[in-house]
Amino acid sequence: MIVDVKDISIRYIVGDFRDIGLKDFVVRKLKRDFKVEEFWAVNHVSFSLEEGDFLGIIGTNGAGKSTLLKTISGIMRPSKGTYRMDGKISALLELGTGFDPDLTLRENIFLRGALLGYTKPFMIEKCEEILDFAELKEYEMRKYKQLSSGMKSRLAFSIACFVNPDILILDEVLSVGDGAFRAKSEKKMFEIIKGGATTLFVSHSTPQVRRLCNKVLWLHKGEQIAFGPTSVILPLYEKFLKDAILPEKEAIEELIAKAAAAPAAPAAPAKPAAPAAPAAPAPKKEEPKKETPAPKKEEPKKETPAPKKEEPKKETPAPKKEEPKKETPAPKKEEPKKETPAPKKEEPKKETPAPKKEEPKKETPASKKEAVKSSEKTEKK
Amino acid sequence: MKILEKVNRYKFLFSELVKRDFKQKYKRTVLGMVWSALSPICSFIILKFVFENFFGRGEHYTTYLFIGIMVNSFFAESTNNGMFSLVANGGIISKVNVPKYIFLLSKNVSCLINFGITFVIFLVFAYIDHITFTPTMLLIVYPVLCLIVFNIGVGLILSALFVFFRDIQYIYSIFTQLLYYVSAIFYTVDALPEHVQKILMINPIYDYISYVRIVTINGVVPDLTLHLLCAGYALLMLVIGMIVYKVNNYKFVFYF
Repeated sequence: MIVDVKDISIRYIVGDFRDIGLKDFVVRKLKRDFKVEEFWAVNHVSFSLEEGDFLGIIGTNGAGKSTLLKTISGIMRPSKGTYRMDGKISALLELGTGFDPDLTLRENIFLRGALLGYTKPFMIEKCEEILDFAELKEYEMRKYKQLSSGMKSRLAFSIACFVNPDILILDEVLSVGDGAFRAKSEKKMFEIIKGGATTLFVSHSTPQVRRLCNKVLWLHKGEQIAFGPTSVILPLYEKFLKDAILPEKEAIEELIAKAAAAPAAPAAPAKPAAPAAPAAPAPKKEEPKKETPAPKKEEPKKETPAPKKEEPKKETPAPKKEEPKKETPAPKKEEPKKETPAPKKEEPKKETPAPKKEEPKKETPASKKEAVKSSEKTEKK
Repeated sequence: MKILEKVNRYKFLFSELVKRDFKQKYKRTVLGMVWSALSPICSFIILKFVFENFFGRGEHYTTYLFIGIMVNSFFAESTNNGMFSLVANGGIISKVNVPKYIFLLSKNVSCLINFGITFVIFLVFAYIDHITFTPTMLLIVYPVLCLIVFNIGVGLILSALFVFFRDIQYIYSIFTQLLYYVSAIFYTVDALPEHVQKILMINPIYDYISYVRIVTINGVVPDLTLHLLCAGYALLMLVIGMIVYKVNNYKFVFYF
């Protein structure tokens, strides 16, 4: 294991300690009026990665993603738990750190390179390349403050492209610049990662995570909701984004276990029916439903919390959903309707396309509803 | 050894930080680096003009005065700039994993370079003042080294305090002003009673200044007590500073 994080919790100190002067501090201490609140930014997070893994860390704002990365990079220390990182770490938590507005670009490149851990001969050699990649050759001797913000981001990113670590940590840095530059930077980052680096990557863009990552860690308000393969977790996350209901741990674990056990299950049964109704309302929604074709279907019911359900099915943009009812007209609608009470319900419904779903559904807590729905579905079918 | 390993790893960053500090200090100034030399010279001229009549009876008042100014300004500038070093680099510290004392050290190096310039001017003044340059003067290296360590120690303590309590800058400003008056910079101590002279020795800045004066003006090696005081204060401050940093290392980041 290259990265091993065991039950980390990180606590912030907030309250009336900051920004008060010395006098107030002493007075309050004497009066025993001292109140320091705690805030657990990250609570009991555990995961581990092998060499070459690409972990996507997802979650809504304030989930503790950046705090977790800061701790792993050594900037903060966990209040509880331990972690282990084997190898050279390169952490790009913010692109613009270390830049001084009054220095020239060249001087700034050297300073930023030093912060990233490059050596002086390396910087001298690569300075030209960096400027070329950022398309800022003409501005080499201009002051940093004279650049536009897009140029600043491009420069920051291109300096960061030459790292060569064992472990790479990226905190939402792959979304700078215009479209062309973004494509270029993704390609370049890929090269680094293909070189064997284990990567931890925070992103809010689910297509990007789907495209790049093989494992996903989902955090919400400091808690770990799920950690597992992308195919399993991402659909659950997308579902959550839609209906704001968190999946349950058991369901997630079941799904992960299933995925691990039956990785190759083609989920044939569901597929045939699905393709027809492309789940118009939103491709995503369909995916969860579609999962049917994929092995997930078996899981679906269990997933009730819904993290995984969709994944296997989703694969087919329309395979699963359509099956149940051609959900297209309102594939989602049905789900949402049902799901509103609980995410699970949808599953039961969706499950229809996938044979599995129906079965598992009954198992789920909202069994009643599911049962109802299942029956509905079966009728529909 | 671990420390050497760290020094090697961060030496490029260190040199870049020193360069940056220098450029920042003198950006948009007309005279730039000349100020490093000009500032002590200006104080010297004014103080000499005012106090020579009162204290200039002894020999070599010029050198006596200049040593006082030079040592004191090295200490005051070094510690004052060091105090702000952590907070000024808060942005970097909260995003990049580098040892936090590296910023203090780079500020100290900048001030040391300034001291070097001032020292050269001092030698010129000493020559003009008819000081005989003996090999004993080479011993100046000793208090200078101790003073460097002393400044780093005090800088560590101050910069850590400044992160938590911003008032420390005002408190320290008053403190340095008062310290100025008890360091015998512009006055001689011969006229003072014995026990007062002994009490002055508690002031580390006075100790460093005395050492330099003794080896320069008197041309002799100072006694053991002074040696021990110089080194003792330096090590004491360094140890306290290191402990403060070690204990609070991961707390700083919450205050940026």
